[in-house]
Amino acid sequence: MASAETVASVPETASDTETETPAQQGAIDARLLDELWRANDGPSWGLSRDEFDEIVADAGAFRNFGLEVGVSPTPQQRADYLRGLRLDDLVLARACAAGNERAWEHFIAQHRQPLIRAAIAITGSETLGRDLADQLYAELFGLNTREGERRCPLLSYRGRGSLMGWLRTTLAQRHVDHYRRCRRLQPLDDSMDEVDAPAADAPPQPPEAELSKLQQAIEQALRERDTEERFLLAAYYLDGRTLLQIARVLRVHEATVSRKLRRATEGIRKEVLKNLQRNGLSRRAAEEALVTDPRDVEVNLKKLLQNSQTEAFKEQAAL
Amino acid sequence: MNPAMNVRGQHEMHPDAETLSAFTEQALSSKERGEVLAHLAVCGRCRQVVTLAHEAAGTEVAAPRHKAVRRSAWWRSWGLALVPAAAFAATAVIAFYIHERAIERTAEVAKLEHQQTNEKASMPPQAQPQPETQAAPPAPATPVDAQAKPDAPTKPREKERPGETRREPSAVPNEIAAAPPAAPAPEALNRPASEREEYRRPASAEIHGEMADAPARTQLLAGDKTPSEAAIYDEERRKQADEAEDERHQYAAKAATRSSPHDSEIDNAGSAPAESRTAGSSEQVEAQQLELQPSPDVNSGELKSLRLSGFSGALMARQIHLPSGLPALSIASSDRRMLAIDKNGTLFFSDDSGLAWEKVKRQWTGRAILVRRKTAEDATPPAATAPESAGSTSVPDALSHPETVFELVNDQSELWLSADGRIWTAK
Repeated sequence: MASAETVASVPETASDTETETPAQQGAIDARLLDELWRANDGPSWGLSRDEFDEIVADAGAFRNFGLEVGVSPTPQQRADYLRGLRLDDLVLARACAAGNERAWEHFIAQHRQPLIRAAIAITGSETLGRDLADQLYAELFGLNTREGERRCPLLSYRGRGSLMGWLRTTLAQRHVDHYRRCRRLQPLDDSMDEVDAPAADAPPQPPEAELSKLQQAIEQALRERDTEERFLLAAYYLDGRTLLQIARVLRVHEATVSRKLRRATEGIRKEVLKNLQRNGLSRRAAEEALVTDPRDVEVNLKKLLQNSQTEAFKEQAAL
Repeated sequence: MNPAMNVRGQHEMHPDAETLSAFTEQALSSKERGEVLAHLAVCGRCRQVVTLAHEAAGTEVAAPRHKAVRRSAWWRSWGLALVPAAAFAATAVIAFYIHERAIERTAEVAKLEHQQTNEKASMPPQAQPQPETQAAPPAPATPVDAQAKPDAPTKPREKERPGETRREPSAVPNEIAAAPPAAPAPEALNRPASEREEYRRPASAEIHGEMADAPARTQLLAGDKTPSEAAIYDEERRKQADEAEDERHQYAAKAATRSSPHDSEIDNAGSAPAESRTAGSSEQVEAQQLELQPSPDVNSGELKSLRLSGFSGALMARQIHLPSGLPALSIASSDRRMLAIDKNGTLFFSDDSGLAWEKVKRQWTGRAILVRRKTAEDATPPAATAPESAGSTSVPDALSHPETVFELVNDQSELWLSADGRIWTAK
């Protein structure tokens, strides 16, 4: 089961790379390739210069040098993108995927223990962590085959970010997918069998029309929020992340996250008030509508915040 | 299809692990980052992946950081203590250096004192001080005068160091030894006093040559067969010795306060040919060297005492033999009266230019460390300290000023005054 998921997570790039690489490789300046070959101060693990050029060209062409699909990169854009790659990790990953023993020895010495520690940290359990790490390690070693070919996940690594970061993210993906899949099969807790106590007498409900206007105003306000604010709202209110966790992911200060969150909620409140007034409510009636019991409002914030894919990914997916 | 998106279902697409990893490591361009952030805003799964991967990276980074802190903790804990430790070490080094310098100086003084004691043991008792007439202005000496004066005081001097005298001829060239008695000496005696002064005090560049010639000249003159010329020569040598002794007393204070380069000059001059000189010639050369030194600024009325230090102190200590046997720390003189403080703080008085000393009864508190001469006319001191211009004849008169007082300083910087050097009153 895990292997199928792993296969699914590995992009089918072989055919794309084979079709794009020759053209892109011809587009890369030979002097830039020389420079990258010399700049790669790490061991080449037996790779020839031609193989190195092919790997670099594939890494650049796979993501169109960081540009949107269909945009033709300039030589400067190509050079900037390729210079930002982690070529030493990329060469090591490709050498391991090719079965170079010395490269594997180096990989094990360099990444084996960090991989186990990361898996333990992700799962929160040493047993589960070691199992997760061993499973990924077996896949990396190429024990899985697809259509009779030995498949190595390391081929999907193209030097964007560090190899260790890629390994950690891959572990996290496996763990989250496994958890989400298994969660549906877990039995309900005994505590869930308890019957909730009856709620106290609810305040008088606002008219149905007013609730409908409130729902429309909230949905409109949330849609108009920018990407970062929606991410902050989702991470903080839906995922229950702390300010510190969000700050670390965004690489900003904790206070910055707090300030942006406060600004986002205040902006949503103002926007809801405006929308209510625009829909015919007075200022006072709009403010009274905001104190409505949330349980009476049929607004699915999770659905609103996570309304399918973003526009950018939609467009890219349509191509 | 965007190659960075993994197909996970018909309606679900996510950025691949490399993109999410690059997002976590800030390795994406701003446009790519915005796209990933937009996806994260609506995708709980990817938010969870990013958060978990980032937390795992945080634990991975924290471990080496913890090791690094532990490794450097030993010296960081000593960081604040290094400053006083360095200051203490520097102080110890300076104190050790000063202590070593003091030991070296003490050893030098002791060595010179030992040398002086040896010389003293090998020398017979010095001749009695010359009568007062010796200090009178020397009249132009004539052979007749020289014959009239007794030459007894000079003969013992030649007998004092017979060995030295015997050693000298070997170094003298045969031509010089066989040459007739030197004529310039009698001629010089007939010259005026100023010319003879120049004759006795050659230029500084000729000092060493003069010193080398002195024994030979002594030998030549001693071997003179003409009685009148020998008498003239003896008289001349006696006068020169007396004058040199007077000048040595008068300018001892100057020599003691000279700077170290001058000390080294004296050292260089006095070390090499010291044993190959006769008594008369050594005193003459020594006096010449003393006179050749730049005279201190005595017109300022400042301190006219000296403190023994280095070779200058040793030079004075060789001239002054205190009854306590200890080297003199401070010396002051006026006319033929001299006061000296030895290392124990005992004050000694001499009224014969230091030939005979008597201990002064203690009339002050603490330990005497300095004695100096003060006159009531400090602003216009007598010109006795400029012998080259006034001649040695004016020195006694100037130094015997009735207003002359001595000043004694103890170790608590308290002052006592005395007009005669024997009776002291607190200031």
